Amino acid sequence: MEINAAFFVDLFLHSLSLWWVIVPSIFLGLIVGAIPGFSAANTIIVLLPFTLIMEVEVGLVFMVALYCASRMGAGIPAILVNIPGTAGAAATPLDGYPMVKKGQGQRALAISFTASTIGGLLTTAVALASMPILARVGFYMHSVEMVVVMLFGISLIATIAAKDTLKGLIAGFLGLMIGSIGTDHVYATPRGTFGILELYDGIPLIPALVGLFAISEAFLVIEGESILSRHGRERLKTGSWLQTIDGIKITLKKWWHVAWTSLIGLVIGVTPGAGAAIAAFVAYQQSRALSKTPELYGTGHVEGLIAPESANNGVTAGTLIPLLVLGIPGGATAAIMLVVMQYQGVNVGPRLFAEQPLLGYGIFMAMFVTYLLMALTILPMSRYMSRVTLVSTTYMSPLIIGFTLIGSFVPREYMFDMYLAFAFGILGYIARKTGYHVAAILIGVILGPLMEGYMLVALQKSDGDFLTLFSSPLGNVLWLALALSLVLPPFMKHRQRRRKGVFAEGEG
Amino acid sequence: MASTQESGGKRQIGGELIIPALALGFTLYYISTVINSPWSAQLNAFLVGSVLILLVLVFFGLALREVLLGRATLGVSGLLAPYDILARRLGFMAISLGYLVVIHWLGFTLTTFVFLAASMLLLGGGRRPVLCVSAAAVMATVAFGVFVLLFEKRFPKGPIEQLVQALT
Repeated sequence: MEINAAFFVDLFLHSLSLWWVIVPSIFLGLIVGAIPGFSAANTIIVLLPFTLIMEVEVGLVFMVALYCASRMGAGIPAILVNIPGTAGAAATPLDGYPMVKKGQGQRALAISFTASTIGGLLTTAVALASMPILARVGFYMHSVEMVVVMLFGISLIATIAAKDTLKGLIAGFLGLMIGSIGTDHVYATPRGTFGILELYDGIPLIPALVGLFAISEAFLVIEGESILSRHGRERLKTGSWLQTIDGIKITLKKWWHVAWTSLIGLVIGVTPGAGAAIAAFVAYQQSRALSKTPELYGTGHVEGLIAPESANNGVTAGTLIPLLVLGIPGGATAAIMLVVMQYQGVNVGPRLFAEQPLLGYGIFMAMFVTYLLMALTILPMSRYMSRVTLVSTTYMSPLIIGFTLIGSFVPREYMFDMYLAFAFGILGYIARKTGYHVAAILIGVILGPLMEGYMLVALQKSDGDFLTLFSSPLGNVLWLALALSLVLPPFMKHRQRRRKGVFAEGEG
Repeated sequence: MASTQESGGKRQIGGELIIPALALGFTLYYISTVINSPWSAQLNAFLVGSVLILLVLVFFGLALREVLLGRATLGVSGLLAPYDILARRLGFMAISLGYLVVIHWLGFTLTTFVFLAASMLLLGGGRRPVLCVSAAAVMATVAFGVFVLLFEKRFPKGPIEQLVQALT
C-alpha cells in the first residue's frame, strides 16, 4: 500500500466514520479526567473486558479517544476549583485558577480547550510525519540527559521563589525532601517513612495533589461567600459567548506559543518514563523564562495557562510513538494498549506500519480526529461549566473536601491515603496563610523522586563520579540551555530597567 | 522576610515559622533513618537535606533578629485571622477529620452524607437546612453509585452498603 496524501485523506475519512465510538469516549474521558484519582489507564483497565471483545480497531480508537479526552478533562477542575485531576494538570491552576477568581472562568476554559486541541492536533500531525525520527529520541535520552530535563522542571521552584526567595526555596526543598520518602531505588532501604508501610512506595501523588491544592483551598475560601470576587461574580453572571470567543481568539493569536510548548510535550512524551507532569512544568518554566512579561505569571496570565495545557496534550501523541514504532510502552495507558494489541494478535514495532498501515497510522489519525471532535463538542460547554464557580462556598467547600478525599482513596484503595490527603491539606493551608507557595512544595514532591532515580542510575554507571553528569554531548547542550534559561531572564530584565532609567534621565 | 499580619506596628511572624520548623524536624528525622544506609539511600538526604537545614537556619536567624530589634512578635494571628470565622473553620476541619474516623463504623455512603450535611449546615450557619440535607443526600447517592456500584471501589462498608448487598 502506498503511503501518500490520498492514503491519509482516506484514513481521515475512515477515522471520522468512527465518530460513534469517539464522541462517547470523549465524554467518558472528560469525566474520568476530571475526577481526582481516576485516570484513563484506570478506566481502560475497568473496561478492558469490553475492549478485548471489540474489533481491534474500534477498541484502540476507544482507548485513544478516552486517553486524549481525560488529559483535557483533568484541566477543568484544575482551572475552576484548583483541583488538578492528575499530576499532568498540576501546573494548570498556577494561572488558570487566578483567572477564574477574576471571573474569567469561561475564558480560561476556552483558552485551555483551544490550546489543548491545537497542541494535540499539531503534535499528532508531527508524530504522523516524523515517527521514525521521533522514535529514536528515547535512545538518546539517558539518565544524564534526564537529570537535566528534571532540573528544567525543578528550576521552576527558583522562579516561584523570586517573590520571596527564602520562603520559596524552603517550600521547594521541603517538597523535594517529602518526595524522597520511601524505599531507596537500589537497596530498598526505608527512608523517612515513620514506619508506615503505605509510604514504602513513596508519597502517592493524588493525595499530595488534592491535599496541597484543593483541600487547603476549601479551608481558605470559606472566608468569602464565593471563590469569586464581587466583580468576578458580576462579570461571570453577565458573561456571554463573547468570553469563549475571546478565549479562542487569544489562543489562536498565540499559536506560536502553543506550538513550541506542545512540541516540548511531544519530545518529553516520546521519552519512556517521562510523563505529562514533567512536560507541563518544563513548558511552564520555559514559557516564563522566555516571556517578555514574566512578572505576570501566577496572576492569571494567558501564556501561563497555554503552556502546561498544550504541553500535556503534546505528551499524548508522544507516548504512543515508542509503543507503536518500537514496541516499548511509554506510560501506563500505552502499556494497556500493548496488552490489547497483543491479545488481538497485532505485532507492534516497525512491522506494524509495513504490515498493517491502516491500523498503525490509523491510531494517530484517530487521535487527530478526536481532537477535532473535542473542539466541536467541548468548547461550547465552557460557558456552562464556568457557572460552577458561582456556587456558594457553603456548598462548594464540603463538596471539594468530600470528593477529593474520596478521590485520594480510589487509586490504591488505602484509607491511609485519605488521611494523607487531609494532612497535606493542613500543610497547604498553613503554607498559604503564611506566604509559602504550595506549587513549589508540589513540584518537589512530583519531580524529586524522578530526579533522584535518574541521578542514581547515572552515578551507579560511573561508580559515583559526579562529573558523569557533564559527560554527554546532548546533556551538555541541555545544561547550557538550562543555564541560559535561568540567567537570561534576570539579565534581560536588568538591561530593560537600565534602558528605562537612561530614557527617564534623558527625558528629565 | 514577608510578614503575615501587622499588630501595633509589629509584624506577627509566629505562623511563618511553622513550615520551616516542620521542615527542620522532618529533615533531621529523615537523616536519622538513613545514617547507617548505603550511599544511594543517603544521596538525597545530604544533597537536599543539608541545603534545607541551611535555609531554615538562615530564616530562623532573620526572624530572631526581627524579634530582638522589636520589629516583630511571635504572634500567629496571620494564621488564624479572620477571627469571625475561626470557630467555623476549626469546626469544618474537625468535621473533615471526623469523616475519616467515623467512616470505619458508618461506612462510605452514610458518612459521606453526614459529613456533607453537617459541613453545609455549619458553614451556612444553619440556614436552608432542607437544601443542605437534600444536596448532601443527592451527592452521597451519586458517590455511592459511581464509586461503589460502578467502579466497585472497596470503601469501608456500613449499614447502607450491607443493605444494598443483601438486596442484590
